[in-house]
Amino acid sequence: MIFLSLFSFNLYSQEITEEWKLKQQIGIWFGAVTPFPGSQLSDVLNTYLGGGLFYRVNLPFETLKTEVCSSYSYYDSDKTEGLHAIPMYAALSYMLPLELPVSFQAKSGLGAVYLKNNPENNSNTHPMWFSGLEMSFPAGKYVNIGLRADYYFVYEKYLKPPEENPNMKIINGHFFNLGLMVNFNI
Amino acid sequence: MKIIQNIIIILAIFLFYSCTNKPVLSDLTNSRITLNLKGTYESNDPYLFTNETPVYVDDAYTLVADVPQDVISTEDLKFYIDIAEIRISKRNDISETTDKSEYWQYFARDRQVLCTSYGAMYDKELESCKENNGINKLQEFFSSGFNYPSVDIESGEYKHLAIFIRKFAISPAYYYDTAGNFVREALASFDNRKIYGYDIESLYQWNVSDDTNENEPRLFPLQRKDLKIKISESNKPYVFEIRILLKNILMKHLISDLKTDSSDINYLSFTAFSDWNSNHAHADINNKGKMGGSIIFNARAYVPEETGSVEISDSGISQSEKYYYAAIPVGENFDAATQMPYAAVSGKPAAEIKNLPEGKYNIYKTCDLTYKTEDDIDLPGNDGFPEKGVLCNEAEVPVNVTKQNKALVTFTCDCQ
Repeated sequence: MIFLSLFSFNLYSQEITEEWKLKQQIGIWFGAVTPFPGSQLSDVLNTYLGGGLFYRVNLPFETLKTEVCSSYSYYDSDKTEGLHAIPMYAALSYMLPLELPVSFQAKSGLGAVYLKNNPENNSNTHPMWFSGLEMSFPAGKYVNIGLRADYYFVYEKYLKPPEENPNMKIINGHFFNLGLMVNFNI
Repeated sequence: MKIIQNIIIILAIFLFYSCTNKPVLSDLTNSRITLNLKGTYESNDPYLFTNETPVYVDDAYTLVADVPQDVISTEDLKFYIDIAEIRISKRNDISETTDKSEYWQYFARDRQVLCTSYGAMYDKELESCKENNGINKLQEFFSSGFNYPSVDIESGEYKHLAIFIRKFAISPAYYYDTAGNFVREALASFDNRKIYGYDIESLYQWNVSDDTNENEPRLFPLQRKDLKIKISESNKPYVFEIRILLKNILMKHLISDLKTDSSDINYLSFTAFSDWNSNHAHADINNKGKMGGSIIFNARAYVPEETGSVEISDSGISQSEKYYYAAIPVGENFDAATQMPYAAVSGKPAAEIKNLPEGKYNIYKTCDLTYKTEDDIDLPGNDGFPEKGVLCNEAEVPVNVTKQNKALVTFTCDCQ
């Protein structure tokens, strides 16, 4: 009985998958954001909250989409520091060819991220590289629900230490997000 | 889909126009601030401990003939200081209903444990002090100051600074019975161990006139709400200097009338801050040893590369007791009898007050000429606190100075 149920669910999900795969997707995510554990920023900033908006359009391949995403994250600390981040990137999203009720997408792309720190309120936009993995399942024809894990590499080492503080050690940033997502197939 | 396209375009334009040359992430891991905590009246070149042997003696002590009048040398003293954290605020209107997380900037939250030695009773060690390199930090605390781990704070003017001192024990401290016979050495808890010494924290928390239900404690935190410390928006590294008056005013005290039915102990002899500003009724057991009021501090911030110094040539009389030269920015009031100066140096023929931002300064000579008696009367003598301040001259640290630049000031200045 269990076997039959799983089998029928599998068939059903495959039909749905075929349909939503061909549509554009617009979605949101919300979840935890953190400096990558072990990175220098993880000594300063804490895990906090973030969320974002993404939009995907098809390419002429069934398993490949382009994704444009922007989000907002805030990282706080036990002391006075804090960091606001607004990344925006374009990525290629590859749907792994697995015959499962849930679909997996591996993503990678490039973009830029606007950063503003506390307490000094310095801000700048840096280039970034994005990589991520997403797991979702279709809840009907129009909605997918899932989980996404993102990694951002933020490149800051192209800058020189400011003249007034020549001893400043320049670092790059590594961030990790884990969020719940929902997208609409339109 | 046109909306999405527009959002993408607007965001892209926003990101493009937000480009600067400021390292935002590195700014978080590289602090501009160096928080320097000193235990001296002087901001540079303090008197050495060897200049201060022996410590001052409370006149209340000398009036009790039964108790041994041993001389205590500064070199005999052991200090155990446990600082929980230091906080700062731009406001000074804190109350019970204030949202503390909004009010304070928690810029120095790492506990610092300083000690003269790592040894504790029962062959144990003061582990936190050892991990903190507490012996070195204590030596620095009494000389050039030690760097308290801290993070940057917002630019602006700060009024309220609070230093949360958890424990403050000083050794040796002795108990005597009514006849003045030695009973035992005092013990204190410090860094989760037992040590020889007396924890003066409770004694300096209140003064005699304080209502413990109404007044704020005086040591936890040790605080000031009248500061005017400006932090600029510039990215230049700066020093935030806090000076607690301790080293210069060490005094041997006696608390009497401790005897109870269950104990022979009648006197406690210990060394701590002098009584220059405390009511001697603390010696009365009814006042539970409330000795508060004599711990003061001052704080300032400066950008080292934008400071100069004032070199002083004084042909006035050299004081036999400790004296100092103090710099006060012109326009600021200074009452030597109750305040610590903006910056100061120990008195000597060629004294130099360093790390002064550009501007005009009134140069004072401050001297210790009196002590406070048991009856709260000031009589000629010494208690370590330089309550007499004489305005000697004005000096101007020029604009755009470098560290090599000095303003020279010559005068004849006497405290008498």
